[in-house]
Amino acid sequence: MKRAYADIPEGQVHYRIEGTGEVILLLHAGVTSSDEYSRVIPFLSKKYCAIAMDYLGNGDSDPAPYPYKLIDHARTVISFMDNMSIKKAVLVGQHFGGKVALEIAVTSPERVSKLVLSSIGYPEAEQVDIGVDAQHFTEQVEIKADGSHVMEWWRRSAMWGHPLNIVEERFLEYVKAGAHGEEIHWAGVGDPRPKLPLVKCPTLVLSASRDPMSAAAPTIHRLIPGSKLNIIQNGPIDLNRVWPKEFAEAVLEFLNSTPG
Amino acid sequence: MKRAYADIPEGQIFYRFEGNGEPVLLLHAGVTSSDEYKKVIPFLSKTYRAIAPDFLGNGDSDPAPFAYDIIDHARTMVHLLDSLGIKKAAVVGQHVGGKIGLEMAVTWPERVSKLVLSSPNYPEAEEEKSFKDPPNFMGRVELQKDGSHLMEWWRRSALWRHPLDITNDRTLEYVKAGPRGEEIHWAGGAYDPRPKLPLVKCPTLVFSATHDPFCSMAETVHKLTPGSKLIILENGPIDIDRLWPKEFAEVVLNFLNDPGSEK
Repeated sequence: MKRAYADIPEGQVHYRIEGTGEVILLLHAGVTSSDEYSRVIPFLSKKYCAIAMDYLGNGDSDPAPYPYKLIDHARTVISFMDNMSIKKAVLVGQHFGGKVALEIAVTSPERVSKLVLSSIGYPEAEQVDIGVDAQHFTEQVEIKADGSHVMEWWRRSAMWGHPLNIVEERFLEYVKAGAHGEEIHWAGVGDPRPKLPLVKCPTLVLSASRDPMSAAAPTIHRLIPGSKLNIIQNGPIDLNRVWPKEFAEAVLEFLNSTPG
Repeated sequence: MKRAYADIPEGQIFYRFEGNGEPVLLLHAGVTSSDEYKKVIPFLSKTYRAIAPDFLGNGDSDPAPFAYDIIDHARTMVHLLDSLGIKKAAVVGQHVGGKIGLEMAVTWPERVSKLVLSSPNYPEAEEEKSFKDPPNFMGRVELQKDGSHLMEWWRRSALWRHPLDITNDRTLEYVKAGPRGEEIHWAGGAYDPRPKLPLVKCPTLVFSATHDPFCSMAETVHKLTPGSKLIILENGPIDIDRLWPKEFAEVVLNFLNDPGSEK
């Protein structure tokens, strides 16, 4: 897997890339990065060109020039595809990334061949089903002289009970995103449901039973005409990081079984 | 300023670059990254092609395949020049970066046109002793479930009493380098530059700042490097490229523009 930068009008976008063939563009969740797909990409790259980019303000991309909304992030993804000469791609997005992918599928349908929405939610589901106070991990973290903000980022990284190496990966993403990091979570607050009936391409609604958003998946599925639903039993939150093989198999099985 | 990756045989090297003209390669210190030159580069890039890479295992470059010593890092820098199609460059290095630049100048003299050693150091009796029992900012830091390793990285970053944003930048570099990060300090500590200095053939500037703990060593390094220039900035801080980027760039530019004719 290689890393590289693409120059788009808004700045430099960092991405990871491996394989040749049809492009699968992998869109990450809020305050994470393309690193969350590092273990998924080797499964996809045997048959596809797998590309995972960092949004502006997250990971190793340039900062966003102002607090970006969902539509701004969607536009940078299109700018990135333009720069990379990708006319049309399979879009795979998790959590916030799923909302970005949905936005693109609805506003630029000619750029999206197939869509995978992994554990996306909507406002009631996000407030009720998440089991913890959302404020508890989406409010701004100020940098403090005693370094206590570092422990707050560690707490947010560790709250999902992941193995230590994954907690450390998440933590690095918080440090990279810095004090503006949570802007992307705020950008994700919005209701995707009115857009779902407008999706025209083959779509997989994917979730994992231990992801708090899995409760929303049947509704998301019902609202997208002709979509498929796959809830992986006992699968964890951050499915792509923790269960990369199962995540990749679900994506590949959908792509293989769906006519282009 | 742009960021990019170069492919070398050992892996991917991340670098920042800006400007056109004669190439200037900026080599960072131990467990830092090219980020330390980000405020210097805009001064150099008006007349030079400034390139600041991250060593393998530091910053955003790939991890080193094994615990590298100074010559291993120097070889990756020569491979970087190959990958960028650069035959010869001026090399500027701070702390461990200076040792790596020195090794390039001695082992691959055809690739180094001019050399700037910023606050170079050598193992003293005291330091050699403490290297076996690493000083309180060079020991390995293991990941801990309670996150306490982060406060240790914060402590190491805050040791030098820099402004908060610089302490935060330094912490990010510790987190990126991870538990293996200190390997580069150990490589630097195990390398004595003194026997190599008389072998340097290119114009060389030895440069330090009075508040840098290694300042007292600059004179010896200067004396051992034939025909070298010596500049000590009065009241200059440690991490001078980060804290006094303008002054740092001016010293480097003055030397690059007129390296002297002693050789």
